[in-house]
Amino acid sequence: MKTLLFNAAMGLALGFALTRIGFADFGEVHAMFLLTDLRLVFTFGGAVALAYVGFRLTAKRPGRRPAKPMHGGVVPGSVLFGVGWAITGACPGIVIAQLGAGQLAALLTLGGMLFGAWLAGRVFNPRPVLAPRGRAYQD
Amino acid sequence: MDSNQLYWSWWIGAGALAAIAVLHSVLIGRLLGVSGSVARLVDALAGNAKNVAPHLTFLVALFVGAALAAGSAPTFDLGPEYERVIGDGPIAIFALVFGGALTGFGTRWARGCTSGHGLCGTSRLQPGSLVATATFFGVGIVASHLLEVLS
Repeated sequence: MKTLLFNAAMGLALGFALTRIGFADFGEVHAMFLLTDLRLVFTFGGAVALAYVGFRLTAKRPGRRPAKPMHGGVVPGSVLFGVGWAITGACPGIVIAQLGAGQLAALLTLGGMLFGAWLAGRVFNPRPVLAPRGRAYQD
Repeated sequence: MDSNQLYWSWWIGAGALAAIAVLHSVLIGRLLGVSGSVARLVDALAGNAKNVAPHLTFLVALFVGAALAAGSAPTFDLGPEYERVIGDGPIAIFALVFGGALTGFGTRWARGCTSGHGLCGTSRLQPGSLVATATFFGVGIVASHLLEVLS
């Protein structure tokens, strides 16, 4: 129950923050990629820098922080994702924020995304198993 | 539009995202990763995953949080800038479905997206995440400039 409450709190905070930052606004994301408006670039770079400090300060806390090594899907998968983000304005979190913010056309993006994730699961996990908690899906 | 009035200054947004990433890890004991939660949801719908409740709760709350932040009537479309860059009608519908599929497939192939790789991975200096983030941001920059030329 406590886990569900924390998940709800973190989801609420992320949806609120993404929307107020302007990440759910296609025009803002497009200007970020064109590098004509660096506000979102600084937002993200600043977040990474502060999270570096935060993760260092809480390094001794319990909880899983799995390594993210290189593997064969990192580059090709990220290339597809970069194209998808540029033409929809949405990453997996943003598409849900767009919907919450009332941009109903994002339903099309969400539909495509669920299909793509399902297809990737079929391709890369040919024999899916009932994953034990926190084993197979670390991202 | 004047984004400085509409949206948070960069340092507020940076603080909020970093706080969410670190608090998520400390409170839940697992790193933030939206594409992982989406993958879990998709597999659960196909009957291949358990323990989907925390992930579903998170995703629904993300929707609600965005609705609270927006506080405006639904707009249906993605705004005039989307129409200018991509188009409208069938072209826009195709672009959204196709682009969404690329994002869903690509983030699962790369095992992470903006949150898992971009935020929680790069800030822990993880090699796969540094390469993934440089790749999807770099490709996003190139693709957006191409769209601008084509539009």
